[in-house]
Amino acid sequence: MAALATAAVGAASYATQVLLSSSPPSGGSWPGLAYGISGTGMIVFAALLAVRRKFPTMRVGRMQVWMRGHVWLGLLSFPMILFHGGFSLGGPLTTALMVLFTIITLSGIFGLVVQQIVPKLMMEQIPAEVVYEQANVFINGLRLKAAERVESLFPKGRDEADGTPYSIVKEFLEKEIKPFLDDPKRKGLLTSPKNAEIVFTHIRKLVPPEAHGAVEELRQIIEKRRDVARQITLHYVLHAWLLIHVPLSAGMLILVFVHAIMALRYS
Amino acid sequence: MRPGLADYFNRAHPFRRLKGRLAYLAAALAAVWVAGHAVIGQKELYNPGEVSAPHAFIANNCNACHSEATSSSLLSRVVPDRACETCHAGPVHHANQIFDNQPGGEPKCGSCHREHEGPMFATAFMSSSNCTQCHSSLQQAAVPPARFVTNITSFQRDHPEFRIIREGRKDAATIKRNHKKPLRPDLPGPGGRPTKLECGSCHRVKEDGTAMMPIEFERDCESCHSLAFNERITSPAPHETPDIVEAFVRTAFSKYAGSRSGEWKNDVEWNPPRRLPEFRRMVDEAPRDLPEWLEIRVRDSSQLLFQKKCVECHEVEDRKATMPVIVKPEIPQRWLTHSRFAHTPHRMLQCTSCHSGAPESAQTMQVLLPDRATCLQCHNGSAGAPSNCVTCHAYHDKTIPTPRAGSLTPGRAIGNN
Repeated sequence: MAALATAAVGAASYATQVLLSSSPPSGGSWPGLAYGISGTGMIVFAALLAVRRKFPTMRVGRMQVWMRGHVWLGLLSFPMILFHGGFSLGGPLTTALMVLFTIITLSGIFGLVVQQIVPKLMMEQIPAEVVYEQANVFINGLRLKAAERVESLFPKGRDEADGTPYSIVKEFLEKEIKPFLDDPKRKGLLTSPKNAEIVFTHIRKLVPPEAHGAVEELRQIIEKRRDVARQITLHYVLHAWLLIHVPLSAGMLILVFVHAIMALRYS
Repeated sequence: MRPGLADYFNRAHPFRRLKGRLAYLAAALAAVWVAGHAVIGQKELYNPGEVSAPHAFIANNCNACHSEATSSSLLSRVVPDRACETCHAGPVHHANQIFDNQPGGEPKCGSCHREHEGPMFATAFMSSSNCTQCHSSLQQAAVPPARFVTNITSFQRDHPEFRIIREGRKDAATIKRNHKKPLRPDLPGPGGRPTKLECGSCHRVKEDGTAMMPIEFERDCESCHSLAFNERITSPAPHETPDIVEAFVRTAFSKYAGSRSGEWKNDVEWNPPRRLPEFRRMVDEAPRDLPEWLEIRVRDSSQLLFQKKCVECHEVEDRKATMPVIVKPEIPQRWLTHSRFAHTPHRMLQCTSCHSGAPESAQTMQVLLPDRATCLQCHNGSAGAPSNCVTCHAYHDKTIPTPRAGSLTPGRAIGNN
């Protein structure tokens, strides 16, 4: 509400100045400078979220408050900068700044929307979410578990396993399960969940009932891997915009600093 | 717990590492971009916009205005007034003005005149707020006496009525001006033919499109108010002082008599007199020789001109004297002397939509200027016509002569040497 009220006040004062003077205030005028300073302050605060994240235990307000400030002040800074520039792009530096700022703002809005949608999707579609940073470790664990479970079928007291359930499941492990665990998107019998069900049903028919438990565990491992793959995809959807938002913000901050110095020097 | 399962806190995920590296890369690219321009001395990067068309010749010479020599400090490149004064005189607004509590003080050039707003932007077309920063609560020095309204915030809101209307001034010109008569629809024209005059028949706008031209007899009046004085002389008398007119008449008749030496003998109308005194007068007045005929013609023509033709429009003192005195008309060239007005931008309007009193005006004393309310019909801030202060007023006193010779050469002006 405060951000909206501030935006409304800023817009009203800008409109008043345009009506009174029949031309927008320049960036170097006192009103223009006020818009520029307040907009830059908001941008800097929004950027400080990255610093705040580096020091999560620092007692400078809750992270949730910082995130809200980042979102609302970041959004509010855009009209302020538009008022500062009088809705014109100016020269090369200011044009570059406005282009960067527009992309940053749009990517931020995209991120905001995505973060309202994707976590709900994850809750619904991925019942057992893993810590994203731990995903590779978790997948390695699935590989180990699958191999151990297949080895448990090796017939005791025999040197050769040809023709036993072990040999069937082992071949299935090597040809389908391991490649799937490495890359679930690769074309194979297990790529499609429907195909996977048919394949596992067929495997169960090939092995005696005492091996069904192991086959079922392998099926669960495949489904977990599928969930992790889905989670990784959603995670990228959820965070890929940051690959634009954050680097461009860093570049823009450098240019904002240069612009402020040079503008104050020349005007 | 499997080996490696719990140490993921200590290692950044590849996604985060990529994000961080891209951030450093973007910051470095931005710095290199700026530094590269600095190294090659290219300052175009910081140019906030194209300069106005009149300043285009120094568009690539930042130092012409933002130079070390003209700046107030080592780091600052703010354009000081003296940079502008290299080319512009910028005379003071009013001798008795007070700005920033300083008698005679003036705002900085750059505080009103904006630049880098594009080639079509008129740097002289300033925002009204530049004017109302003082005129909304005007301070004026006591000497010379202040005569301006002190609280004007806009034309539409509280601009006073034009002084000439407010004070009910009369036109003090001595010319006998009557708009009603020449504008009537049944006006007899040259040769008695009915004619219809319009405002533009007599009034013409100056070539620069601003004020009206002063009325000129030969151009604007003579076609109807001819100074012809005798059927023998084809050229009318000049619209000059009585001595020149009399000399013209005398010369014209001399030339005429020279080519027709015997005509003076026939130039008496010997009408059969009914009474003796009339006959005696005819005999007395009949010229005895050519010089006498010439004097009679000059006298009669001068009397016609001075006592009948001149007085149609002019006040004439001692009109029966041989050489009367024509009172100077004293027609004001401009009425609203504290503002400037251009007729050309108003050419789509009927003259009488602003000068509404003209068709019925029969007296010279009547001032036919529009009042503020007339202007406000269009210049009201919402109808589209501009109502900025500078639409009508100029800040700098342009009546102060500007030195013609500047200090620059073409090379120095564009920054080549």
